[in-house]
Amino acid sequence: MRLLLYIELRQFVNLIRLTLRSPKRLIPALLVTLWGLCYLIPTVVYRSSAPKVYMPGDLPINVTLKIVETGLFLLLALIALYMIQRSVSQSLIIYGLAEVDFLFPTPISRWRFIALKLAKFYIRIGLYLAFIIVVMSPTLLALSSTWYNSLITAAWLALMLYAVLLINVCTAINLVAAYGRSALGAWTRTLVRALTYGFVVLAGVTVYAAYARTENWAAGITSLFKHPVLTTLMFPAAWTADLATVPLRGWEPRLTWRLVLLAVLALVSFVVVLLRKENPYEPSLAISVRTGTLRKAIRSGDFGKVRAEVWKKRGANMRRTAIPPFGRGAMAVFWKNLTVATRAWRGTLIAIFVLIPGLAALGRLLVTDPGTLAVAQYSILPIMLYLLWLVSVFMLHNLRGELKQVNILKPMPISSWRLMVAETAPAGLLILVYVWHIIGSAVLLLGLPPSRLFIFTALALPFVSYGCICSQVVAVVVYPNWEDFSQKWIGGMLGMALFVASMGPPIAVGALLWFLRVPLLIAVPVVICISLAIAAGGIGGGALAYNKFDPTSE
Amino acid sequence: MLVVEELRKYYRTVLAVDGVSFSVADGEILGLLGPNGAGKTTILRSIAGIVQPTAGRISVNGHELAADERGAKRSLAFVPETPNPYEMLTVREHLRFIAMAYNTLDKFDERAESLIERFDLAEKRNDLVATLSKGMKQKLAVACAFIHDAQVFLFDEPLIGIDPKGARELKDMMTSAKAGGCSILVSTHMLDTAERLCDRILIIDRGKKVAEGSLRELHGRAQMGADATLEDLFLKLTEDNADDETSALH
Repeated sequence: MRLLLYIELRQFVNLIRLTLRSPKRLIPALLVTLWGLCYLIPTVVYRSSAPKVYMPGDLPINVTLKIVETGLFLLLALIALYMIQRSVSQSLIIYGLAEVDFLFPTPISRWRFIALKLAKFYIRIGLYLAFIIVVMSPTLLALSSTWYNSLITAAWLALMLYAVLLINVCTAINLVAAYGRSALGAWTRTLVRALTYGFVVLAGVTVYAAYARTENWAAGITSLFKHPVLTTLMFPAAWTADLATVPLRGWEPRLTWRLVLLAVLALVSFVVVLLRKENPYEPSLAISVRTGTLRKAIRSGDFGKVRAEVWKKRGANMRRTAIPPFGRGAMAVFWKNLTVATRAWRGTLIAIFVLIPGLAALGRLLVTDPGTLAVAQYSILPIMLYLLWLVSVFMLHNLRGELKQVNILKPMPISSWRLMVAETAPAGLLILVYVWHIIGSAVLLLGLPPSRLFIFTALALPFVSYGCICSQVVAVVVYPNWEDFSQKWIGGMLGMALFVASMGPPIAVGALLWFLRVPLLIAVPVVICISLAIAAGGIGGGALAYNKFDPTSE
Repeated sequence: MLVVEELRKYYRTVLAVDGVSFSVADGEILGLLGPNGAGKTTILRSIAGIVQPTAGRISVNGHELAADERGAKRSLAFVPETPNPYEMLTVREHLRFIAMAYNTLDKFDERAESLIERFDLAEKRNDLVATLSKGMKQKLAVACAFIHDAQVFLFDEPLIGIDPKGARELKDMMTSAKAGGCSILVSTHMLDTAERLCDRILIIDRGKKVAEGSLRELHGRAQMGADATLEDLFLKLTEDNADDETSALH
């Protein structure tokens, strides 16, 4: 154990030294620390002058507490199910490549590795939970608690013990079931699957039965927490939810036993993991290698490599997304980019296409108040802007990856500006599809009226977005190499500045025309023209930079 | 001495190694050859205890790996194909940590300095591993293998990325270790090196043993003349194996 601690300590000390010596590392580290400290400001300010709104146990409506408890129970149970299901095939503990190469072959006993890895995991989880609690403390202060309050400590401890138990159970399952060909492994896999599907089906039936009885979805969901089978099956989650809500309602003597039993379970599961004889390295080997390569690629900003690593994992599924080849010259490049985009985004595309109509349909079931529905349309805009940002990030990374293949692209008989259009067009198309899909779902499934705002957004936003995306091309072409920290920093800042600057004119003009009640027939073409002019400027600038782009200097 | 008997390894449903048996005597270098994906790295990782064999027996210097893993590992040194040393340790700290792991700190200073000098790492002694080039990392990995009292050495493509001087040093050290009675298993694609360095050759293909023996024995097995190089033998034997498998399928 001394050796393992030696490595950890030396690495930590060297990292600190390296950070202090290098401004490139020191400045981002200070910024991140400051950012973290910013979260504490409200806590510090609120501690001294917080008005005490409620006392423990004084929550205005008991149902509210029940909903909080049920929500927490569901969240914890779902996390447990997801992690347990995942642990059958993927290790929770990821060993570093250095550990695989240099530590595994040494004669250090296995249980020491696992114990240290698990301990590091627990500490990390404990710190995350503590951070969340500290950040939440202004809210808790309003509930007459303080962040160092014993009740909050008990809640933190309960969550911590639950996390420890879950990590241990998942690690044990992974050791037994992931790579072994034993009968126990096969049984474990079957049991985990049965448990997961059984829980989901039972939860669905329970909620629906309660809804059918009361015609109230909230009552249906809270019935989950009362279901004897579900709460017995997932008793650690139920106990933790019970314990974690003590800051809201005060301590009860029965909770002491639950906390003690959770601790015992966590300890027993830890011992069980240490007693397993299976090789702990192999389940984590593949994922360690992949994660290591992926991390390296992400750190260097090489999206081409990141993409390659992600695609390796997806394997055969990727081939299913095939767009029949079309076009010549720049159109062929557009086809290639479209194929790449749909393959890279396959999961996200499917998720968005299923999730958005699903949420809209669910919203229609749950929200019956027309006033709330009217407000909903304004919350859809930020979602669309977020998607725009995501797509633009994807496009920039993709273009950065493309520039790595400049030896293929540059000799092609295609003019630079056409090539830039071909590179950015899939992102524009993707935005168009997203915007129309969201608005279509909101109108057709959520039941929102096809208001003037929606029509304006549906017609103008795709073009505004395309303008924003194109404006950043120049930043990518001029600063393509993210392995170089200064290029990454300057390129990122320039791209962000161009993005924001190009969003200004069409939005300002659009807002002005909107408030002046100018007919859509005039307002939309004006905004589109401004956006297209910005897009053309971005493409032109990008093409000029691309003409001068020297692959050898990259 | 290294003994491997009926080693079988499945990765889920994929059979990577199919009943391979061989041994490396004390004072012997065995070359492990095979096409890409033949199962060479899996064999080495199984012996090093990184992956768990599905079936079979591995004995390292008289210690059964399954029953006495720590005992077996104590006399084992493994150099991976693409080493990933701890980047946040310095070169010397890295060597020290390996020496600590094998409990051979008493001879550390002398050995470390000698290895650092031999592999031209003197200037980088107190630099972080992260700052080393790929070849230097490879040299460090080799130095780590010789920092403790290993009796069985496993090398997975050890010469790739090392400069000619480093390669010469490594070959000399292998020869010295052999002379000192150590067993050495080297997986390599450099057939000319294998030809000169190894006492015997083991060729595997698609997880199965295709041929094993000295160069002369392999000549007989492949029914090729004495002027045939190891490259000729290797290609002939692996092609024959592929033909056999195809006809068996039909």
